[in-house]
Amino acid sequence: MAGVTAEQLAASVGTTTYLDALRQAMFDALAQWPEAFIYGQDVEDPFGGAFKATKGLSTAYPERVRNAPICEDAMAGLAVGAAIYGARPILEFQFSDFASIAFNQLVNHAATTFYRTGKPCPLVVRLPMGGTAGGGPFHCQSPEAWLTYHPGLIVVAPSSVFDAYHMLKQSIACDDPVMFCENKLLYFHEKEVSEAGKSLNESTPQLPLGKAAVVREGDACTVVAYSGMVKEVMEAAERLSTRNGILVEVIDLRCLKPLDMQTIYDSLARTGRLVMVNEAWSYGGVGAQVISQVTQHAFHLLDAPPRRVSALETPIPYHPELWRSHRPHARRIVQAIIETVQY
Amino acid sequence: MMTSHHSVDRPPVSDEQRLQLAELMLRSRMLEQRIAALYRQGRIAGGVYLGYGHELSSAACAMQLEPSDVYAPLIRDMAGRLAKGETELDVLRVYLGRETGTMRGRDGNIHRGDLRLNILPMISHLGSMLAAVNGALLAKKLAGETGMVGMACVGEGGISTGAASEALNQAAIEHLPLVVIVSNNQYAYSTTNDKSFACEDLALRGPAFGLQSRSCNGNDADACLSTAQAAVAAARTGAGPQLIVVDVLRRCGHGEHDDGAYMSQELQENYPDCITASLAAWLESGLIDAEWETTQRSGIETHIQSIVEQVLAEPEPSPHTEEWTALSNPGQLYEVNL
Amino acid sequence: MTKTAIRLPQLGEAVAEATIQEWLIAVGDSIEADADIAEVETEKSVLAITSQHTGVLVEIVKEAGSACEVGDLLAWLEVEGIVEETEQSEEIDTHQTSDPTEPKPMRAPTAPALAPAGSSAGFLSPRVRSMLAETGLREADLHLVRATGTDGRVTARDIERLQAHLDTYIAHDASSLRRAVSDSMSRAWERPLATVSSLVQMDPILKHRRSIPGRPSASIYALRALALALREDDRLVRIIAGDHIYEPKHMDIALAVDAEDGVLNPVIHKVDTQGLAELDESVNNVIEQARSRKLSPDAGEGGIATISNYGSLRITWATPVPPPGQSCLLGLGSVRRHPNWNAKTNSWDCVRACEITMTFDHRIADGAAAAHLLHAVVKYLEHPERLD
Repeated sequence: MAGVTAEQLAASVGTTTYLDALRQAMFDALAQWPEAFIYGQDVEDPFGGAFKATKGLSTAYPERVRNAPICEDAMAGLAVGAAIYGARPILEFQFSDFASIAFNQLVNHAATTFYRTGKPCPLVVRLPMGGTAGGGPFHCQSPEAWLTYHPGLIVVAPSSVFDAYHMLKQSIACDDPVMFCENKLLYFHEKEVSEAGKSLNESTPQLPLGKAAVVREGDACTVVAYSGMVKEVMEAAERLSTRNGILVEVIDLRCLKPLDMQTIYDSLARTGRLVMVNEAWSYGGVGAQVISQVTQHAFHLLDAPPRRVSALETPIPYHPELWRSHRPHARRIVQAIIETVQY
Repeated sequence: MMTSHHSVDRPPVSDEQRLQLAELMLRSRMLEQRIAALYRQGRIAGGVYLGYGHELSSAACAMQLEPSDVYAPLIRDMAGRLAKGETELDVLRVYLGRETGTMRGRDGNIHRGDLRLNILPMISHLGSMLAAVNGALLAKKLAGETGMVGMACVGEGGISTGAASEALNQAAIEHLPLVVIVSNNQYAYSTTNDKSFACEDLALRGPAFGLQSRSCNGNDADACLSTAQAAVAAARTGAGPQLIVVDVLRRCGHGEHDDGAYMSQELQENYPDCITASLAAWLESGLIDAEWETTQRSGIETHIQSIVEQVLAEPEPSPHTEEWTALSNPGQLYEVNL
Repeated sequence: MTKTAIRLPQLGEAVAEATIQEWLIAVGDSIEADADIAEVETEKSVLAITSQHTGVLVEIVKEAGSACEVGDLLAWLEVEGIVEETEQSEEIDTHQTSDPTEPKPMRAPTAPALAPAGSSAGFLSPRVRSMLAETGLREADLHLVRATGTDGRVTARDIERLQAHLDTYIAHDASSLRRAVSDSMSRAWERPLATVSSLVQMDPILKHRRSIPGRPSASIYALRALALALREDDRLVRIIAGDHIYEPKHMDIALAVDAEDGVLNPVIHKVDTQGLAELDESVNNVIEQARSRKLSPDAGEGGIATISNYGSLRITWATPVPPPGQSCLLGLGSVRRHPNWNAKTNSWDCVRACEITMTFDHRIADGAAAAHLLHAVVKYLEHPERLD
């Protein structure tokens, strides 16, 4: 794929997938910022990454797309040092589950660097997270909760093709460390037919990195989700609308740290009811934070107790049937919304 | 011990280097003695960890670095930091938590760094700084810089962490000009060598990962200067990452809170104090005269005293004016075209 | 009128979908419960589906020929009153034969802690409270709204509907006294109240009062009569709260006094210790203060029972409500001439008499206890010399 262009990348399939969008964002970022480089296991051509997110990129930028040995801790440590020295490293972890190995460098080094030294630490860690059938306990986790816990890290989780492209570019441009949570189920399933003659890199971002988006309007209940769960929630919302006449408002958080609470408060002022959906476990998670903020700052808007839909409290099961029940799905979301609306 | 994994090239050492080393060792020792006193006065918060016994090797290694080289010292590298350009003023501002210090009271003491001097601020997790130096070197390499070196310090405990192993492997794969100084000071806190590692010689770790290894006696000034000079030159000229194992003895407790009562008497007899021994040898060789030490000490003492007085008068950080943000520019999250 | 959904029912174990073949009634037609409403074709057969309710077909969602899944909305029926089962619960039931993620019996250490049992009836959500504060409505006003939340909880939507309803009226400011009375009456009405009544001959009192300085009114006699009767049997003025029954220590009795735009209930303390003349003076003082709004705020507090002389309004019989916190109210009707059978002369005499009513909290006392107390009061009133 020598001399590959963004157009060629985008045109390689009829529609643009979430994964195409990520690839194109990195391609465009490498072109736009000479200080950007990609570092990760198997990212170089001809392989082009475990999910092919970097396919073609090392051919275009051989020095700046580099295979790493298996060493998530050293990958993150290297990124910190490089960021301090003016680079914009983009790390690819093959699965977000392996971020646990880099935990120390991410939360103790990347997150503390600016506060301690006053020197920005612009790095992006791409974390393919969330479930796929059969992935089991070590390839399906959603680690955003423990990343959001640490001051100094920005954590984002796009749910659409458009956001995958723009938010990745915005993350690379950001001067602080960004934990970029991708959703593996969306990689191929989330598609967008581009407008006639208009590719992603010709479009302009509609929202800044830190803002949440109201992706469906309604008055019966606010449902907050992010990443892969936005799709499930939209499905649930559609069912509720056509079958039950319940119109829910859906908010895609997009940025998990810091949280754009204002968009949630504004929505609650319209609905008075809140359901929080995350694919991760519930304990101390993003949902817990959203609800804690809501009860503290928007108590007067609540007409029903906020409800959460999260993964069940076990490691992630291997068998596809167990897995499907373990993660939140449209039916469980529908049920939670109905219980909340009926309260 | 001269085994096949060692590089044995020994460039010559000049009197100028020896004199510079002598001065750095004294400055380091006297500054740390003052810091220990300030700690016992309750003027320093947190912990104080001293480099007694490490001064010679620490300074001898860091002396080989250029100002633009990257240096990641560890807790016992006061002498190396001074060699890299830190001043007594810089050090005391951080130890006394002053707003004027590089860490502005947000971090302190041995964690301090100074990016103007290319000294990285260490995190406490041993072995973690090696990869950061790799990153700095890779960034420079991608930016087209050549002839740079990065030096990372670690101990015989830290070199056995997963983080250190990953980073050694990484440096070798990327063929980075990294020089790793492993100071085996016989104690990882209270843990002795036999419970820290089981290989015959830590220098074996170098070739195992693809680094050139060297060893030297941390009390031997010429050996340290020469070995470090050779390793740094090799790294600088494209020979890939280098590892130096320095044999020293920590001549104090782990920190000022620790009396080191568990330390062996026998070891202490085997390892004379590097400063006393070197100065005696240099006096005998005629490098310095009888007055040299007295003059030096009195000059350093006066200087430190005036710096302490200056720093104590400087402002401390205030929770009322602290910015309380861990992000460099939170506002950028709300700008569309980032 | 409520709209209710007609959905495609489960028409056989393996049937997942069906096609509407024909609607048997048209929009606007009415239909009886259990009557056929449409014919649908499944893979196996053509079946009629029936209406669960009597009502009017107001909208057809799935026209004839449409394919639909079990549980799909087919049409909307408008029915009288409230439909018991909600469409939402149907939705859930039809789509989950069993949800494997529903809580199963769990081993103790993993069982989630449950909130203390209780009903949310009467619970006002933070949003409802803030809406009340914003609109100036009070909790007592919530009886105006049909509560649609769980266990009859008032929801924010209910408040919006109430506000919309109120907007169809012309609003004036209510006086603070009227608001207080309204609030107190709402609370008072939360109890099961019952009333017993009896006729009292008033000639003895009308004669007796001439001998007392100040010529006390019938209310004064009733006050004292009730106090003395209660001293002998206080069952009607006890209070039940939680696991306890509370007996009064003092015979403090309130007197309902008309004021502009409301009624005040000043309390006369230790009525049983005051003679009629003394009582008359106490009452006149309090009435004067009440009417001139000089009553100290705590004068309206307490009291174990209330006397209401509604007879002064030329009412013969009424059932006034005991104020909240009290269990008993003695009402006096207007004095009128009544025929009274005189057994001695075997003829009808003309006497002056009035109905007295005793309204009480039926939770604390039974009819017999009320009758007993009322008879005791009647006896005192018909023998006023015993009240001296």
